[in-house]
Amino acid sequence: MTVTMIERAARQLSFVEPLPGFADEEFTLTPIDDQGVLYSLRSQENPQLRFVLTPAAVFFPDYRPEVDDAVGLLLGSDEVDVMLMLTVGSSLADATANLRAPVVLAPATGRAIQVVLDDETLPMRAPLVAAAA
Amino acid sequence: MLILTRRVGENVIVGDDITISVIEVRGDAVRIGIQAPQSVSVHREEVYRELQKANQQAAATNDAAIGAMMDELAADRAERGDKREPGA
Repeated sequence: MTVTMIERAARQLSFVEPLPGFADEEFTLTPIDDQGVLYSLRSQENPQLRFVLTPAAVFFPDYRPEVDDAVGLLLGSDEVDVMLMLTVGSSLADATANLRAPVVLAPATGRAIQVVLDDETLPMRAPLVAAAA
Repeated sequence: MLILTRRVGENVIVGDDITISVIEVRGDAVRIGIQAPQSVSVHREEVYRELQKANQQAAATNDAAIGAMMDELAADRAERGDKREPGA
């Protein structure tokens, strides 16, 4: 499966399975900044529901998730982007990314899914910034 | 909930296309095999519950926090004299 560059304009995403904990399936993905670091994933059904995503490579350049080929079948394309759910309490210092369950999306079809990876050592709350030495 | 007893090597069929197999029993642990269509997700319960919680916390990220984070990222870039193209 090839990982492609993420486009910069707003785009519609259809989740083939709802995000665990939620029922929404139709979202809009919009860049927040102009550096391609932060994206807003906003529900079309409930506009007050909004997630913040980041392309995996921005903060985790060595992250190489093993994504099953079945995901490509579900998304209708082998060319996918891998993004991470961010949780930001108050600032960059306490921001974490979910490495265990990335959001995989196919630009060609506009379909997405949050995949739970098998690797139990991957954290659901990985700090974005290394702890001070 | 349907509760039934199966021996190693026996199966349970759910709906038309999900099969659950008892592979091995070792002490108080049961090794289970699950065959399901790709469209059906299968998770260990505790992992799924933790993911639900993690997503709910992620959804609570507020605009002020995002703003603070963007300011810090911009400051980092300025400090590094980062002249990369956006998105590079």
